[in-house]
Amino acid sequence: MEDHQIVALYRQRQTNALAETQKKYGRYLLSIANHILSRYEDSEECVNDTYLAAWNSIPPQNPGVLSTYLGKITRRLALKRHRRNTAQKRGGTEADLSLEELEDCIPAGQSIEDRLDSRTLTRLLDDFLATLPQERRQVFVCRYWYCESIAEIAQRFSWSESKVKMTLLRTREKLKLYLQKEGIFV
Amino acid sequence: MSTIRLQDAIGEIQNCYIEEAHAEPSHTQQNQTGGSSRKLWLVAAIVAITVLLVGCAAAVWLNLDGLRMKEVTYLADMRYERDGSKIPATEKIRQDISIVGPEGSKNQLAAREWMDFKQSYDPDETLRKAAGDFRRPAQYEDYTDAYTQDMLDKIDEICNKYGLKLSGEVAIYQGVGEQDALLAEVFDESSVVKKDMGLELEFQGGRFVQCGDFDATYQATLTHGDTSQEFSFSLTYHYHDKDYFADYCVTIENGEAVQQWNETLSDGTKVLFVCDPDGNTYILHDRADAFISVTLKNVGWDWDNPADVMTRQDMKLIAQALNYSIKPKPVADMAGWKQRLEAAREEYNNTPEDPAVTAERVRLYEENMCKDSYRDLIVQIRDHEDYFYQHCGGFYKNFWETVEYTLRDINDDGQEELLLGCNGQVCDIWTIQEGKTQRTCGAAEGYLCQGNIYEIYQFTDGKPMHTYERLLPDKGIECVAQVAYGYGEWRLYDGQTDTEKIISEEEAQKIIASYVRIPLEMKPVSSFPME
Repeated sequence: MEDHQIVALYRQRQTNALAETQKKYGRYLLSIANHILSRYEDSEECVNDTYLAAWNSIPPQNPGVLSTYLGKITRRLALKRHRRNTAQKRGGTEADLSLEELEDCIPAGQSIEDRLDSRTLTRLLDDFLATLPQERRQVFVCRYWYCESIAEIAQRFSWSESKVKMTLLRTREKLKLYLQKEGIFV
Repeated sequence: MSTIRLQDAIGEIQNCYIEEAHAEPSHTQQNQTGGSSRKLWLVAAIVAITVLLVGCAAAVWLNLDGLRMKEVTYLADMRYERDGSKIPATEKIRQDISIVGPEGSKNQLAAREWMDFKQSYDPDETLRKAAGDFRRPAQYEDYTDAYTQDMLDKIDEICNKYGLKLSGEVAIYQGVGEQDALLAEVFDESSVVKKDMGLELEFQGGRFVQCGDFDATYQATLTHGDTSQEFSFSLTYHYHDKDYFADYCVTIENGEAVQQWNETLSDGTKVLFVCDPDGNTYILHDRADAFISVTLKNVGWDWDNPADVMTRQDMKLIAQALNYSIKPKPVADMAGWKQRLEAAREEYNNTPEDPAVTAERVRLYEENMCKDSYRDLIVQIRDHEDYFYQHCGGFYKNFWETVEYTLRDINDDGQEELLLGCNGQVCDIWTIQEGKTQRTCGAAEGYLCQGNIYEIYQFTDGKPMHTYERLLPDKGIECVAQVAYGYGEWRLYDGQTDTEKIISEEEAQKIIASYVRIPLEMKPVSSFPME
């Protein structure tokens, strides 16, 4: 079933919208959740929460790209759950590792300006990603949006793991410079 | 913290970058039937409930406009104030309110079609008069307005059109003896009231339809938890199963002055309250499979005495105490069930009271009421006020503090009677018979008139009634006359001839004026000579 047909089911309050969503995107969403949570049961619940969130938000929302609309919900829910689960101590999940790596993007002793709203930060990231060659951008998103492991990314792009690590390192350094230039750190 | 903000911001990047990263998402989604299917049913259930609630949210807030079946303007009779002044005849609105389903429901549409059919079917009642003793088959027993085969055919047509079933036979029950057990069978042991919610019900009688529809009337008492204040009123619980055809309505006589409001009860149940100025309150709840209506009579919400006025909060307490999830089971063998119901009633009626219970009742009666002197009686009442309050009326409440007495021979037997009352009224009269005190007559509002005539005055809904009695030397009572107003005219009952006739207002006032109330010198019972 096409995305617009599934969205139409949501808008008509047809409960089979859920089944169609699961059929088309269930594994995709589970993959996103599992990269962050690393626990199948938690991931499964997270994906179910995604379905419910979609049911409650469509309408009024009318997503043009259903996969990423759902994926973003799953990612948010999974990170929220993960942060709650690991409030005391970070674990060794890909979410934790990628978060640690992102620390490289922030100059020592500085932090992101509190008054900077999240939309502005996201817009800057979009602008930054637009400057990157496609493959480097894909690798970056796989690592920091999907929280995929270095090994998975290497396999996906048929690269060596060291090449993946080096590419990510250089992208993070470039991002740090970009954000500094935009004056978001204090 | 900054890192987490960055991580979150990455999450909201443009969709194209997310799609691009997984350029061929389809390869991760082939044969995607696994994943979270194990718990999808749970989400589906939640969503289904959400759908239901969303649906309900649109329909659940009942209102009178959506329930009104018919509205008729009529001229209400002239009435009186308590002081005798007149309230002229006024135009009022009578409303019939559907209690089978909300606006647009198949149940209300069916009832409306039946109502419209009846209005045009036999306008001059020719067919009704010709119908004679037309008998409806058992399955049509609840449709009392149908008196020809054509009407039964119309009912069938309506049922087919709206997908409804005939409701079946009807049984009347009093809830005596084993009848309770029979009703418990169909109620599946559930009750119309929740326990420990401050609402006590005493069953008075009811009606049960084969399909499970029923109404049950109770004498109800609400005890307010904070103040122990009690309200007594009549409560009728009516249940209608939406799978069946019925045209039940409640009629509100003063429809122009009703108040209505919606409430959500603590368990989420949504109800509509409707109050009319005659002291009736209706609690209406629309369920997916049933429509429940509860009528409270004499709740006093508009009475003159603020202390007796039941507030909206009190009404909500009543509503909270009721069970809206009741689901009576249809009775397959109604004839057999009715026989059992009747047998239970017969058995109850034919079962003699336990002699020990009778003896105890007699003992208590003699111990309390039959004293050697008025002094002993007054002491007995003082010390056992509850017995008299329960058996002789509310007048005996706070007896020692509020009640006054006087002694006067009012039956011309040479012995004084004990007259008890307050505020110039005589509310109970005691005499001595064969050496023992005996209660003769009393009234909530009574007066002694010249000639030792005892006047009982009643005033209900703008309609006064004066009853004049005489105590006889043999302790009997005879009704001398009764002058009463009702249905827009005065009537005189003559006790001597045992006849009744319509009289003019002037004649009525003349008769009333002929019985002159005597101002009595009364003293507090606490000052009654004890030596």
